[in-house]
Amino acid sequence: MKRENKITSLLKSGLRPHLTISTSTRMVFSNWHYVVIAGVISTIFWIIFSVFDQLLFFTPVLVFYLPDDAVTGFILSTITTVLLGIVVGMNVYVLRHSKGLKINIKSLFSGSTLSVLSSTCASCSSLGSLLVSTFGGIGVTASAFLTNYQTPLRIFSIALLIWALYSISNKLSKSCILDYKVDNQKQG
Amino acid sequence: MQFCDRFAKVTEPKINATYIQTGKANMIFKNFVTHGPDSITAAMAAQCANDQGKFWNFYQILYKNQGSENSGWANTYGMKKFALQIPGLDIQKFNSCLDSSKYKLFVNKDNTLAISSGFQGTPSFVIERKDGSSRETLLGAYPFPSFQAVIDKKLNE
Repeated sequence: MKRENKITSLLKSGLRPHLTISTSTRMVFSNWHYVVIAGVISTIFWIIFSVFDQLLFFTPVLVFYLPDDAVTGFILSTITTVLLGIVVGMNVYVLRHSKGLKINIKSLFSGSTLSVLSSTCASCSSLGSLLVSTFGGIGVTASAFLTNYQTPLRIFSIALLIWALYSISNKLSKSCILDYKVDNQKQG
Repeated sequence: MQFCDRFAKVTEPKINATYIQTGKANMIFKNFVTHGPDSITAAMAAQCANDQGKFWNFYQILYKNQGSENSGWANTYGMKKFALQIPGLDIQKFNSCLDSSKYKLFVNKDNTLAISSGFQGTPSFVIERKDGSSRETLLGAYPFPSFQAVIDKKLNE
């Protein structure tokens, strides 16, 4: 009875947003395979974002530099890459272990797409003539919008990824509660 | 984030101190206007300042005051306002030069040169020996160590 109460309270506490995320991430990342997946995804995106932000150069010499104007963008893109790694890792876990659960594709992809787009368009200003020749005036306007509002767009993409993380964590937690109840009914 | 601005504030002063002031290299600025009509105005204004030997002073003031892309900060009024900050610049001459669009064709020619050289955006750089040989390009706001590697290689060739 005591054990049952403890499990129930743990599962109930798991429904609180911060505890849901914390419990689910601990559950998923206790397996090192998912830590590796998250690490690889984060690293790949970190490299892509750093190249687009013109902070990382491979030629003529390998250089990473962080000028003052790029600090805020770098912090935001690093947070984005870490979140992307965690969210993708957890989605892979769900795909492999929970057949009945669906991935929240909308929140995952909207967050990922926006973060990639806002970071890619850091480079828009260095592709000015290409954008003008390809998209005309719309290209310039879109490039100016994405460059000028890069920071709020990145914050928004982080919010979307946190939503994706909460969403997938919530599904994992709820699936545990259902399993527990089904288990109890079977025993009864 | 604007990469030309980053180059002008972070990398260019280092290149200037290490290679230009020491007489090891020259830096030639070419216009490549890719951000709408204000870019053309700014390029023409810089050339008008150049008429009075104040190109680099104008360049520094321009980047110091750079606003958001296509927000109107680089219109004719803005250019004339910035020109007032340059000591020794004849404002009457500058204003009349800018109002007459004297350098419109010049700026267009620079643009054509950039496009024919295969550049797609700013900042872009060509590093070559004095005789124009051993040409290398850097596309983007590369940091000083990248320039150092290429320039030193050219100097030692």
